[in-house]
Amino acid sequence: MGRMRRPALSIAAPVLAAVLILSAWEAWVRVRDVKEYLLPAPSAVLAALVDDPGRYAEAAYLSLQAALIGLVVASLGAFILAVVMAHSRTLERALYPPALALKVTPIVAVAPLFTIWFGFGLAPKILITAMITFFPMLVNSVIGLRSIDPRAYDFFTSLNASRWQVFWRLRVPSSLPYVFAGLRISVPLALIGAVVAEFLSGSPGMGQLILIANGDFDTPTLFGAVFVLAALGIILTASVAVVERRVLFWHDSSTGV
Amino acid sequence: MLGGNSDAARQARALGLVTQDPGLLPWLNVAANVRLTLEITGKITGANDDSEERVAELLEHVGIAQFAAYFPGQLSGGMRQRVALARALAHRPRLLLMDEPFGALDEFSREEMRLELLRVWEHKRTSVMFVTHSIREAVFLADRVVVMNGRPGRVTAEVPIALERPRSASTEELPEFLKLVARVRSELSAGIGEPAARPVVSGDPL
Repeated sequence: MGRMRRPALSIAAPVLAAVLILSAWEAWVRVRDVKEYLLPAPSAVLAALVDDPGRYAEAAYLSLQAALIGLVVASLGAFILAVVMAHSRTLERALYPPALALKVTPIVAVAPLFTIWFGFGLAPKILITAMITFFPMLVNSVIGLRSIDPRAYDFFTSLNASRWQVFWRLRVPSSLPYVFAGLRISVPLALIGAVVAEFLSGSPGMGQLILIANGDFDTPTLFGAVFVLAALGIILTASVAVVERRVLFWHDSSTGV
Repeated sequence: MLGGNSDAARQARALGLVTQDPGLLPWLNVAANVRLTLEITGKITGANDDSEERVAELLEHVGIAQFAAYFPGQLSGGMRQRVALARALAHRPRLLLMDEPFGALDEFSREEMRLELLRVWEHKRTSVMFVTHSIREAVFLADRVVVMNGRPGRVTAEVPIALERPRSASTEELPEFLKLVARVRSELSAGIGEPAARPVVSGDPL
């Protein structure tokens, strides 16, 4: 449990890395005189962001909303299904193929269909985000619910504990490290899901912003959108890590990054 | 032994279990781990909830009252076994099953825990079935040592231990103690295969 963290360095190192990468990028574009529509310098991207921040903020809000709702829906659904699957090997065998089929369904194929079914609003975006994040949450939840310490289980059995008590007091807490591992994978996927849904259907959000910028050869705006998405991804992942450290203070994983 | 088979004893919540790796719940602190036993066995009732006092009393008995708010990951092996003992005694079982409880501890903690167990037992007088591979440990703790041999697993001898109680560290230096250790050893080697001794400490006649 001994944690050796140096807060100053843990913040300074990634900031320094980002500054170095952006400086090298800026220098490359200036020295080689790269055309802006091919690759804009970070300064040009920043200019595009500052020029109309409201546009990015609104698009980011719409994408974030779809990503988070989709992720929550998928996580809850996956956990409930995982409880059923962890309960019985037969049900696991029966339900695994449809879950896998959902996973391998190409989003490109179903996105236009979802737009036809549900229109240009939030619903098809949530659906696509949930589709992408459901499987990693399901697999991690099933493994987590099965990962109980056999010694602790023996103790519960010696006290004649009910299934209900074993579930709430042992299985659910034991599953949390795996659920959080699933969330770490799913949070960036959820953002990608929302953006891809917007990109394919043309409904408002970061995906649509990218789609329009692409059509206009407005590469600085396109990169501006990418930067905003990167920032969102980092903030969301860091938030999960913060919650994880608080919830899983007892677990070995919480001492790492 | 308890007027029925093992399932019946379990269902009557007549058993307390302590194993070599006790599997404490790492997300609960020491007090909450002990309280869990009361919760599972339905000893916590809304009307007169005395669980706080009972947990505090149990932690006091096993000598870890000041560690109530610690989590298992912050404790040494010996400390964890004390929590396991408190947890196993919380619902006042009629029989305490201890399966190599001190097997993973270093020699010093092991000796300390033996004395600690006897001290707690003097107070609680719960019957204990204690499985161990250590002959000295068996003789030191027990009223009766049941010698078992493997392949096939069977009881090969039973040795009554008439050493005076309360016992202390100096008990191990008594000539009778050494004689009894020699006797159990010879009973063990009389059988073939993996040796295992199964002593019984009993408070009341079983």
